[in-house]
Amino acid sequence: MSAMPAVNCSGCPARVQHLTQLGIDTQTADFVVALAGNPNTGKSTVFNALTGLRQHTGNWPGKTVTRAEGNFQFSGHIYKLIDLPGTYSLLSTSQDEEIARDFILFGQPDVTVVVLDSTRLERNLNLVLQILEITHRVVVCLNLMDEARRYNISIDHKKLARKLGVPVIPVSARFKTGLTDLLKAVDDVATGAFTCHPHRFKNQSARLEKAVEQTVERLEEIFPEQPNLRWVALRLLDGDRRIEESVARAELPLFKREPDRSQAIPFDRSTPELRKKTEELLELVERLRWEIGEEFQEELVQSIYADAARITAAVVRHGKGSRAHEFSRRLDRLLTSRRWGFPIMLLLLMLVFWITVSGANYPSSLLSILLIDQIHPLLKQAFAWMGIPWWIDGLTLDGMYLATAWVVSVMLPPMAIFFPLFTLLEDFGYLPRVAFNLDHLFRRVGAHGKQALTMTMGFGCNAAGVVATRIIDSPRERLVAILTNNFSLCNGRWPTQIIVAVLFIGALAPAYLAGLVSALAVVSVALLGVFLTFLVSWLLTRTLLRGEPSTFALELPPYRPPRLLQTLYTSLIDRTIFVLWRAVVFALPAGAVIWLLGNIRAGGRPLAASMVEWLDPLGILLGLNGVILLAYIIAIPANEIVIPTIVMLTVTTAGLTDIGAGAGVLYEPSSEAELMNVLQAGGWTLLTAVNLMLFSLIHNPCSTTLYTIYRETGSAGWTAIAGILPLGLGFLVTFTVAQLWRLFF
Amino acid sequence: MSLLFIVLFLFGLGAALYLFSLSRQKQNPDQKLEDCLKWLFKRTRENRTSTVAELKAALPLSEEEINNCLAELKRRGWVVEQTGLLSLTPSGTSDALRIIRAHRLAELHLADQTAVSETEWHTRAEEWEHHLDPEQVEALSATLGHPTHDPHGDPIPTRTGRLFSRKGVPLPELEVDQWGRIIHIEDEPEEVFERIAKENLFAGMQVKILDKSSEMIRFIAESAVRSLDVEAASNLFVVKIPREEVIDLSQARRLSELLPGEAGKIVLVSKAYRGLERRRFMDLGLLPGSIVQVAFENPGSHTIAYEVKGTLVALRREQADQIFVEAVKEVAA
Repeated sequence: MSAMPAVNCSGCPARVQHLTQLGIDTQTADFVVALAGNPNTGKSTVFNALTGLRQHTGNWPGKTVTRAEGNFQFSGHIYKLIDLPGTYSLLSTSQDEEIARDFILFGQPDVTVVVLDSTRLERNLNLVLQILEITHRVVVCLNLMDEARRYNISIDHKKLARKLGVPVIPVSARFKTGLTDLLKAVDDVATGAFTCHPHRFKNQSARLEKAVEQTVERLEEIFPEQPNLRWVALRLLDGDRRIEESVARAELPLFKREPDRSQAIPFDRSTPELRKKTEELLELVERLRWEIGEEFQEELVQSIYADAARITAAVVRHGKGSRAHEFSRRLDRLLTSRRWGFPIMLLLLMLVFWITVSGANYPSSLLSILLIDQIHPLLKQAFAWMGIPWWIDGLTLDGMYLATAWVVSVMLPPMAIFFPLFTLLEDFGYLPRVAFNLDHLFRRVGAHGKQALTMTMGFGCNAAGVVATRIIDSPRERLVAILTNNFSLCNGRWPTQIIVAVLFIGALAPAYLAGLVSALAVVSVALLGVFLTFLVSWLLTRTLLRGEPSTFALELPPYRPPRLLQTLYTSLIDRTIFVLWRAVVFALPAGAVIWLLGNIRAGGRPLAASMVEWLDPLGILLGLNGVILLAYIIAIPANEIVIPTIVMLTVTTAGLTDIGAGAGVLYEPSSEAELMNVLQAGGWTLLTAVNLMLFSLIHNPCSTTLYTIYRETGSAGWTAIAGILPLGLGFLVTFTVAQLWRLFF
Repeated sequence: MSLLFIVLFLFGLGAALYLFSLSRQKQNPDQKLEDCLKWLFKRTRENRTSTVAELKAALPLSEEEINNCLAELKRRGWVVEQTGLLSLTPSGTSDALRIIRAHRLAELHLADQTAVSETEWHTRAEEWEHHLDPEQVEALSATLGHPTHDPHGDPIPTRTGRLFSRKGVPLPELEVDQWGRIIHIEDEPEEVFERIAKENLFAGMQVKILDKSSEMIRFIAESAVRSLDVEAASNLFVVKIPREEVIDLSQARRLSELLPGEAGKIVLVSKAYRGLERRRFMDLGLLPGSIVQVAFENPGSHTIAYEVKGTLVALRREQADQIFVEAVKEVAA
């Protein structure tokens, strides 16, 4: 190939427009590189290794549901790297696959890097062969070479490169080996120093071949310079909506054989003659679709797989059965066994909660002493010294600052412990096994097996759990998963659970068992949530969302040793900080609202007191009280602030002005005993505590989650149901418990 | 006080549910009209003439409603009446095709993209066909990948109003021992279709008659022996398939029958799986030619992990039931 200088494609407006539509800013980069691959091939790890970004990587299929992008530099060029959702193929019509396909086709990346799992070459080649039909500017990244070695698999990558006609680079992204070679290959393809001659799959039946030829003939009249017309023809025959639209509008993006695309000046395609040709083409396709029959899609995939199998057989050598494989199988048999599967699951859940509860204690009180006992008085003094009016001081320091300080001190430590633990299990590959273990239960209630995955995600954050439901193909079962995700006890609700459990339930046990008993109480509530997930799914699939369970085909990824340090770092960065930030953003205004409610007086009494009095009858009926209900109204934006709100409101309304810093101040009790005093003065009993724990599990989702549900379902009706259903159930449960309690005690 | 709250809450819940159900179904005044048109079209396709009396007998509408419909259809120039016989004009035909297109696409959508049970496809689609405007019909067709056949095997009229069809014969007319493929399943009347649905029969399945009497037909569909009364069997339409296109399942077992450690080579994925579900199977390598080995079961024994192309894929037992494998020699782990 000539040594033509690299052409920054700012010269071709159509492409820039496409990329801008896809949300990519092309101004800052010389080349755009797309990263494609099957789920679970370490694509995100490659992305992180190249860009230095810390995108969260998880060991379960369908992790990257949204697109990530980052930059890197190599030999003087700036590259923009786009991480596409992991897909098995580009032939189906799922959301993920459309995102990936559209980007590769319409975004026309300068290079598409396809990440393969070396230990599963044959299945992965299916995708590579399909991508090679769309674009020839491909680099194959043979990732997880370290794992392949552990499994005694050796791959002749040079031979593979010859067979595929594109560069093939063995890489181990985890250990950062092979990355420079990968970058070099990307650079070569981007600049045109290397020209690919991609493998194109051999065709199938004569009937199909004829239909493709006929279509290509017509296509060539309309798109004379298009190199991938065979693929376009196949997609048209398959009835691909996007491709048909872009052909109808004569907007098929060009893939010139030469890297220099600035010379591909699109000719005027709006002539009546061309329009007529297009119309004829589409009619021809419609007729051909009838001739090739319904089996054609299957024939096509079979022939691609046959190609993949041939290539694999030629380049892969399996050694004698490896110990890694043996270990993995043994572990699987243990973790999914009839006898041990469920106990191990429960034990791990217990362990995670116990470590979180007991580990968070000390740092929490440290933070609380620092932020509240030390910094708060200092700030108060400073404000007083500056002569700032009392109400500004009250609103900002006693309201907003204290609410935020509380949220940080209560939430940061458990999150900083829980998320890494959860991430370790995730990276190891345990979560798909949980889905596998629970599948028959989900099946029995008419839900999708993958709901187990979104349910576990919900333990972190319900909004994240709702987004994760995208991995469920069937719209009906996806709705079931969305509507029930709220029953996963999310991270924002544990502080409430833990504090109440420690104060009221742990206190019932002897001191040395208190920690364990509280942890047990929290786990029981979490398990009740799981039970409700099943129950409500069952009810939904028999009423509003009737139907038969769809198929469940879940890939179980291989176990991968988790990396402790990196896990700690990434989960801290992109989960803990993210969730904490959200909580802080909501705590600031909530703090202000609490302070205002406590200090604005109507009829000689604080507003809060009137509202509490108004809510009290309902609260008592439910075994709660008006303070708790008001707290839940204020805490709609974020459940994290429920406890501080309750405490402050109790102090205000119970007239305990002698404790703490005064009426309407967000009050931070300095010890558990003092907190207990406050709550008992507010009329709390064991029933109040139990029902608060129940209500904290069963009530409307927070506003972020509701908004996410609205965005994902696009329906105000379903969003309303998602809010009303758990709230109604919560009322029902607490009411029943309260009545029974009063009957027996 | 608290009672007031509960009443308010229940009221809000009721109102939300009511609004929600309203937003899901709007009534369409043209529905009766379209039903008449569709019935007339069906008769035309069957090369039968239609009289007003027959129309009245066929549709669950009152005398007055039918008369109003006919008057309106004639006013629109879709139907003409000559010597007591009703016939469709070209514009009436094209409108009938549009409705049938909407109906069959709706059925396919219900079959492929929702999990509504097959006995409900028809009734639900019957409602839908009247609510979809042409643009929505095209959008639906596009999302489904411009399908050619509905889930019963009926051809879907094309966008330009053409209806391709294949000639099939009712199943009882197939000779004994001759292989055929189901190309169409008549979904009306409902109680007959329910008998067919109970036997898990789907368009695309290969069938062979074992023996027939004047009442019952015993036949093989894919690998299982089934029997149907002649009335129901006559609602299955089949074409003959040549010997070489028949997939031999006589030696095949169901994937679900394999024991842990056993392996098999896939020969057929049942036509009971269609659309997106079928494509998902293919994505994961579950398609004819692939070798599958049983790895382990979940605690409920209802979900099984299989090793295929070096990966582990979990399937439910009823899915594995629908995949046929033939024996292979033990594969190395």
